[in-house]
Amino acid sequence: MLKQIQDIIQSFWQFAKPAFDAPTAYSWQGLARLTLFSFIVAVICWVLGIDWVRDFSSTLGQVFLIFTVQWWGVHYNFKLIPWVTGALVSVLFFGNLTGTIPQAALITWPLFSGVIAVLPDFTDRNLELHSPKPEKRPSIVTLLSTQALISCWLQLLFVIQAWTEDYPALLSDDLDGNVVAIELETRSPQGVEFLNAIAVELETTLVPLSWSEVQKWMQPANREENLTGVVVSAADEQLTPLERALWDVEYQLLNQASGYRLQFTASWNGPQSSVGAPVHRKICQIREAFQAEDDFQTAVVDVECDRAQKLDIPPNSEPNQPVE
Amino acid sequence: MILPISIIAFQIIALLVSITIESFLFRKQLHWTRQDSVQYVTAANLITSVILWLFLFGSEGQLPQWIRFRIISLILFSSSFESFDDIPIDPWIVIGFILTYVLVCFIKIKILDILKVSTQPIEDLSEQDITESDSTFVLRVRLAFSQDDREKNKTVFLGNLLSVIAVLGLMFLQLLFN
Repeated sequence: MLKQIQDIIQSFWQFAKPAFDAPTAYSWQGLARLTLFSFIVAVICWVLGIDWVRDFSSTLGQVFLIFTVQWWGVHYNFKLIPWVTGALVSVLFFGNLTGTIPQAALITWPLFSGVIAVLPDFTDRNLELHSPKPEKRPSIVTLLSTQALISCWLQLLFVIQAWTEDYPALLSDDLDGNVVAIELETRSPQGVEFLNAIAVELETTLVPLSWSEVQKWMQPANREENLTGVVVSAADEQLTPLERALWDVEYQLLNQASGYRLQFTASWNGPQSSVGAPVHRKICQIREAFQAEDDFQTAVVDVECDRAQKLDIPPNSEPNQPVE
Repeated sequence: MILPISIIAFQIIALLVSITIESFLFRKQLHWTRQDSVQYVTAANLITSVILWLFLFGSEGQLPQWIRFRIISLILFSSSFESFDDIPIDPWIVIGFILTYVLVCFIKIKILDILKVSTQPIEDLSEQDITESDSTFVLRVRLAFSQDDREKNKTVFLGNLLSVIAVLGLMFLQLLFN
């Protein structure tokens, strides 16, 4: 086992040796050695639990890594190296050990990259600062402003993320062709989710009541207030605070021989892909039912709702006419 | 995460159209070289776009809800206006549009001044005495802000107007094909 580990380390070293084989101390390989040394110290301190030395060594290691990578890129004339170094600088300033990319790191990446790309125009071979040549200045400004524009587009991603958190209904709209969604879970339309929440709330409210209490609950004098309470509770449960004001919920009591037939319609008045607010409908039946219990028939309240569906026709053109 | 490819693609096309129109106009009207006009106009348009984005990010939380929803619809669904009848002719929108237009022209003029001043030898630019106390940088900034080339300003206003018309034309075309 020990021999195998030794072999693995040896073969890795054979592979990595050229990168650390410094011709002189003043070379990118020399910096690569310092990087490796700093990270080894950080790992040892992590094992020993000396946090401040670990943090210091790992930060120093990252700084050395940035210089190593940049120097390597310049040495091999790799044109895209500022964007690699820029990413490392962003991670150094705004990164963390959670594995996620922080917002600030992503937004500042093009800016850091742009600054690194134009740095050679501001320095000479002895790293002394000077003004860039006049003929180079417009291209420097163009490069930096291009990077700033890309940063704005990246910032837009986070602004959109905030919008979809404020108004989740946006995600269930037709986004095809305008945006590319990455790792987005498929979800039912928010109108359907909202109506389902109303149905659950209605069931929770009515099932514990007796049938006579339900009749009282549904009397015209009480119905409006009671149903509003159900809708408000469902909205609190299902919708974000900003979204609540943008949903219109209407209910109608439809004709039925026995019990009650309630139709809920929910329409979204926020931003949408097509003209006219999308309307979803759900119909709930409220009936008195009898449950057999020890040779007795117990009267219970039964609330049964159909699946919510998107209406292609206006809600008022229902075949079943409302009672009032 | 949602990538708004449609709005980014539209901005790239709008920038290309604006840069083409304005650099052509600058070359014709002000007799700038092809390279100068393309470089300066590109930089001015890019910086203006960045400033407008920053303004949007800073103000979108404070904007009235209906404007905010228009912006969300435009970015997510490319459908700020669903039909020609849907375009509101609100005096505040017209005033806001004119103010933005003037502001954009002013920003572009100053960016062009700064670029022009920063790329020319300082002796060619200043008719005043160069005092020892002024550093070259301070002098260039002072000169950039004191520039008042009427012909160039007129060209910027005209170029910007043509760009806006072209971009609006593109938007209407998009609306037609939707």
